[in-house]
Amino acid sequence: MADKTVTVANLYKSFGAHSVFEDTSADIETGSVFGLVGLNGSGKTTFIRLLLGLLRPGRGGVRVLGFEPWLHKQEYYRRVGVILEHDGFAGNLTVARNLRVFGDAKGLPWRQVEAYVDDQWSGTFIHKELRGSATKVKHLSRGQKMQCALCRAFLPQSDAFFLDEPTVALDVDAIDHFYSLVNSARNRGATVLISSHQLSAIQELCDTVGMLHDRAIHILKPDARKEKFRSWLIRCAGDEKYKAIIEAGCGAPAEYRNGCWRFAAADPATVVPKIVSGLASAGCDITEVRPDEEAIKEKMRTLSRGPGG
Amino acid sequence: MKQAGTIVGKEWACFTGSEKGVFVVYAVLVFVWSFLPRYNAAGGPGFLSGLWWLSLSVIVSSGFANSVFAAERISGSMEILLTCGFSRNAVVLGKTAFVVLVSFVLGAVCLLLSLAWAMGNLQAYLVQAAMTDLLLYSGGAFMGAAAGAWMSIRFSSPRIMPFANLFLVIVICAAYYVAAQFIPMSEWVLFLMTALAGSVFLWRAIKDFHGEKVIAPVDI
Repeated sequence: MADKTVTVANLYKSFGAHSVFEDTSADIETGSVFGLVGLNGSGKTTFIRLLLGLLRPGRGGVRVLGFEPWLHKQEYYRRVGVILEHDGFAGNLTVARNLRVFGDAKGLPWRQVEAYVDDQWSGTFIHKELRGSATKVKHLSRGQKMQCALCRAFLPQSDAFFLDEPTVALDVDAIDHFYSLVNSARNRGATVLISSHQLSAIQELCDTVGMLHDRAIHILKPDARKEKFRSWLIRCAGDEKYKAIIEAGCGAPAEYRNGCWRFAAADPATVVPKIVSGLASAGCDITEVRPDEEAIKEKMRTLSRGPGG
Repeated sequence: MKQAGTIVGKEWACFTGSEKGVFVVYAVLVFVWSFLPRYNAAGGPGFLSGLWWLSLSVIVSSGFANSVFAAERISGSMEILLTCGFSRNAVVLGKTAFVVLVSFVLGAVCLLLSLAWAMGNLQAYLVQAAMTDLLLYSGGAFMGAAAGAWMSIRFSSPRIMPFANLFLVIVICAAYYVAAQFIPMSEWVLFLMTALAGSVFLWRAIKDFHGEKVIAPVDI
């Protein structure tokens, strides 16, 4: 299964009587960015820890890059980049000294780490730290520490990245830089998993979005590149004849919710104007037409409330 | 082995990068602790010497084990260390080796100072006795480091580790001195007891570092 970087099959995991995953399955395709969302306590961090072999699956299989994470193979850890709750840097050491340690851990010569920082981090404070400054990490701000953690996570040679809340405390420039790092990783065929509550980042960066809810992963946004899926929204009356026009136009089921018709358009540039024109001809009073950008947020709410919630 | 060396180097750099206060505390400790051997040299109760060195070894090694094992686990940075490419054995062995190394350095300095204080009466305080003391100290430091590694995972409140370590050395010493009342035995046996206990703790720590407990929540 070379096209799947992560394969989770029939996973069970519990802590005492508290079950976190029950018969959960999920795949993450190689070269994609997967967004993991969920309410507090839904198991996002636990899921990442399972992928990293920090926790052992109760039952079922977890494979990443062909490795079974729980076996703690050094070759596996050299191919993954990680952001977890703590930045992982030793406060008493400088940024450069810390990066040297993490470079050693991945078997990277120092000159390769320097070349990476020159290439990917020029113009940032991390580059200055490597080229003269010698600030101890404990004197850095929280946002700077997060940037250091990103710098560590994206060290060369990684093929998979597991990032738990990677945008916390980042300023706008740092967030832009983070986006470019993720896109660059995707472009070279690496796989990125981002767990975050910042839905705007998830919406913008991720090819696929999954929500952890009720001990399972529900796909909220399928991979648009694969399925040519694009969610759209037209605000108008919920008349059945409008539904027929929309479904005929997009060739997919339309759903009326919260005063809007929602549908998937494989080729929005052609399909959406055609539908709008059809609705207008039928006398429909349209007040809003736009991509369904809030789909993830609304689907999360719908899912978490449950049927009839 | 190379990775364990990297861990030792990292921990050493962390220690040497500490605030001055840390060095002052250890300097005072070593200075004060170096006076008892002079008392022994002047005719004091010689059996105290072993206890004295073992106590110092546990105090010093527990302090360092607390910072390299327990503090990393409490802060959460242990998770990063375990997933950044180091083998787990290298993490345990490197950190343990660092604690033993730095404890040994401090113990050696303390011993040299004690020899300096006893310079006027060096005949009594034989170099051989000094070597036995250093051996005892090293055994205690090894046990303290290894027990610290294991306790940092097993205890839900790793900060009580130094007290548990002290209790452990008291139990071992008590067992030795009680047994020595009935069967004459040299202090080498005491060294072997600490080294054996240290080996068992290290084996258990390596095993536990491959389990889930290493990232289990802690009470602060």
